[in-house]
Amino acid sequence: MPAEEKKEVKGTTISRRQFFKQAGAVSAAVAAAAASSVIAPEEAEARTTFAEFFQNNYRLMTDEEKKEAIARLEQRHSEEYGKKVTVDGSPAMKDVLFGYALNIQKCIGCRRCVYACVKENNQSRHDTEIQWIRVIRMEKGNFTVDDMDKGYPNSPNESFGIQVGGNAYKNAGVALEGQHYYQPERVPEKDAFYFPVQCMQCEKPPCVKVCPVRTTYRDPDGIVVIDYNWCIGCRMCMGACPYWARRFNWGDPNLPAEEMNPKTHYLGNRPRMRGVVEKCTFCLQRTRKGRYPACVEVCPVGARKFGNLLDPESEVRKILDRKKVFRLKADMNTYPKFFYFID
Amino acid sequence: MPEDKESEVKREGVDFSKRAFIKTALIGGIAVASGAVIAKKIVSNIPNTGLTNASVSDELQQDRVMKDKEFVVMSKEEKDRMVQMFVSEYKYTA
Repeated sequence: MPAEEKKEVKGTTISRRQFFKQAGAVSAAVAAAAASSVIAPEEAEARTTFAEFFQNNYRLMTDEEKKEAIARLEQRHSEEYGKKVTVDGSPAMKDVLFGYALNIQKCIGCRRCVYACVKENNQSRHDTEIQWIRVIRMEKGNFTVDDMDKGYPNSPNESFGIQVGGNAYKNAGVALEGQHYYQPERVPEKDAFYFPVQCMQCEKPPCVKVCPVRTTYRDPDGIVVIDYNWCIGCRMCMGACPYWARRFNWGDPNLPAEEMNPKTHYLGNRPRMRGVVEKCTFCLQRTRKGRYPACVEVCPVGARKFGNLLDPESEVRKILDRKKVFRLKADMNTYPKFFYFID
Repeated sequence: MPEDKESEVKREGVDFSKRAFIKTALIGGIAVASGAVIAKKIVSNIPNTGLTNASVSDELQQDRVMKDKEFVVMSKEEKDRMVQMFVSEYKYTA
């Protein structure tokens, strides 16, 4: 019977089994070609080399390995964004401990710091949008002496209970849900003050303690950094951070090539990938070269101050000496190096 | 004998030779690999509307954090002690 199934085609004998085999081979080859053409251009991960995939934790790399890793990234990002991208690997400077101070009275809520940070640090522009600084609008309100005898219970008609005071019913200093999306025509608004929040670069950072793969750590200059290649995206650090200062790349970051800042740092503003956590690094690609962070530079009212906490003559130390200073969630004992002050 | 061998290799029209086996294995391998790549591509390209919601939900957490805020102005002693701690605990390790 098999002999009957064979057919002569230009002197070649082809059985049904052979025909299916060849057809299968051709369709597999076509599918493979189609698949490779689909993945090639769009995803950064498609260009990731095996060496990059299997590289060690940045802290454990030798100097030689660091140089190789940086060279690989420079080549990949330069191809990806069509411009010369540099990846810096500068370590922390000696005898420097960075600190930040923000004048809460001066902030006008213009959010120029937010946009300068997005631009400088190559954050995802849309779907999903990532911003490391959040400026939260809060209600101003006033507490007055006149209202102290008011409130529940309405004395003298009700003679029981403890007088809570009329001021207890005022919402002064309350952040309402979604208040960082405010879009007023003009700032500052009459009944609001503004509260910028970003990574506090804690001296005892809880995010570092919980990282199961030790991809996030505190550098000697006090900046808490992340080795993005080593991050497994477990989000433990996000849960541990009391300031909610960390952001997660839910999707592939959208960073247009023309807007990409080509001066990057390995532990800072180099382009990230899907599934990793990122946060403010005090612009270490700038500050480790002796420059101010982008947010300090752009602030139109000079509300932001930055300097070396080990230097008694630095701006931030002078503020600590002379101004009324408070820290956010000081009771958590995280020892934030980001201070809020009032004149 | 050659006839016997040939009949062993091609029993009832089925090719049992080493060459044919490798060929089949190779084709099968390519087909499976390309199938997996295409499947992965299709799955990852399905628009996921949940991503934006997840991201927004993350951001709103910060507002909730701010509701638990506590602003206490630091005393002079507290500030000095803190700066002293920063200075004394500073250690540079390359």
